[in-house]
Amino acid sequence: MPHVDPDRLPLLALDEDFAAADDERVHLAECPTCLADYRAFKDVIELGKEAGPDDLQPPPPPLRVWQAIEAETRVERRTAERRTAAPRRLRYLLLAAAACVLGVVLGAGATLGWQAARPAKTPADTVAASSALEPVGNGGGTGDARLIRDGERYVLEVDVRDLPLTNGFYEAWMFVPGTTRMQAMGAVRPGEVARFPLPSGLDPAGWRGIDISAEAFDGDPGHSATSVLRGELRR
Amino acid sequence: MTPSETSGPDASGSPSGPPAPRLALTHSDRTGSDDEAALAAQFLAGDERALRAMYERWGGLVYRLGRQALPSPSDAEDLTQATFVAAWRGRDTFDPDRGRLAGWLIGIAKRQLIDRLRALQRDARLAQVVEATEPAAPTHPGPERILDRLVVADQLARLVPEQRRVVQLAFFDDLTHTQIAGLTGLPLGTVKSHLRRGIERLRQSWEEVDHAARRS
Repeated sequence: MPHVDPDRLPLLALDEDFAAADDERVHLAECPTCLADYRAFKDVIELGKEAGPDDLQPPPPPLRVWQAIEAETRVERRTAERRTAAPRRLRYLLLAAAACVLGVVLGAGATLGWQAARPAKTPADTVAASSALEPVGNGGGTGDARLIRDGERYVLEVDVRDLPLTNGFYEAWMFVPGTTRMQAMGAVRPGEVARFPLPSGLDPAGWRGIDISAEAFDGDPGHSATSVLRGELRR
Repeated sequence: MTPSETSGPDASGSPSGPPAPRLALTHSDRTGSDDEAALAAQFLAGDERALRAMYERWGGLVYRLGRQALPSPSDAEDLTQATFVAAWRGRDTFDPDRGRLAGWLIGIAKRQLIDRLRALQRDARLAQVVEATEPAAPTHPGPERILDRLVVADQLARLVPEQRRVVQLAFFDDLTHTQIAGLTGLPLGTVKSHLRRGIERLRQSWEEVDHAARRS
């Protein structure tokens, strides 16, 4: 007996009773080729029938997901460029040497900021300001903070490393230098780049201070008063 | 070390707003395979706009996969982020001769998902040991099934409108061919042809993506 007309198979699979002639049924029972095709159509129809409205038109992920992807792919490129252009150690030497010469610090900061921002080709790809994070006291640790501008929005990227193990966690804050105004941004983990969208209304021109605190799991949302790293964002 | 500058941190001074992705993925009966090929070429060339276009096209699907298969919305966000970052980093490993970009990307999402599910299982086992809790109920349906359903749904949403309407009436409203013809005013032969082609298209797309996802 000839194979089932291939054009008929999707319709047969859609509805088993759909005018299936006896000879078609007999053939399907005997022919592995036609049966496999028929079953594949059955499977895909079943999958299609399971689909709900949100499967057909999935809602987009929250905006911050793309911002995080963009920031992460950008950080990677900048890190590669920075490794060739300005080794990290050189920057700390510069900072150390400049501790008593403010002008040199500002100059180095501006140069590094310019280098970091230089690959920016579009407004969506702009490092608006950056800072190295230096240990407070003698606890050790290091890190970087970057303010990324995406159109009218800002995202703070914080990358901390070599912090001591803790029973609690580390938290990033932004603050207005010279004041006690602090804004909690969220938890950071050593070795990972954390990203925090800036609350709208928080003017990054004033909120330049970056603070990393050691926090306990005590349910207190306030700053623990134990700062481990600090820095100040510069253009 | 108080800086004297008081101006804002905006160093660019250029107009705001990211550039729109150049690629528009059309809803052609051929699933925009030409557009996908152009997108793949742009992606391989390291053009970041291609990553954005891929995110526009498949980000919702990956996020939906995470929402369906993982416990929390933040897990789904994490899955989406990790998938597209891994795709960008691994773009050199995409070989257009071996399958569609969609399948390659979805293969990455699948591996990321499986890694996360394994980690959750480990945590659950650990919690059982520590807290002597009952094991978590296995997720139904499994991640493969969810992914297959999303891939088929994605293609269904991209059928040409008339074909899509006919297929949806058959799938979701369980209408007979004659009822669909009566409702839409289309000749019965056209209804059958839409159903046949629509279902064939779903199967073809599912198999292409599925095979590429398995291989990648």
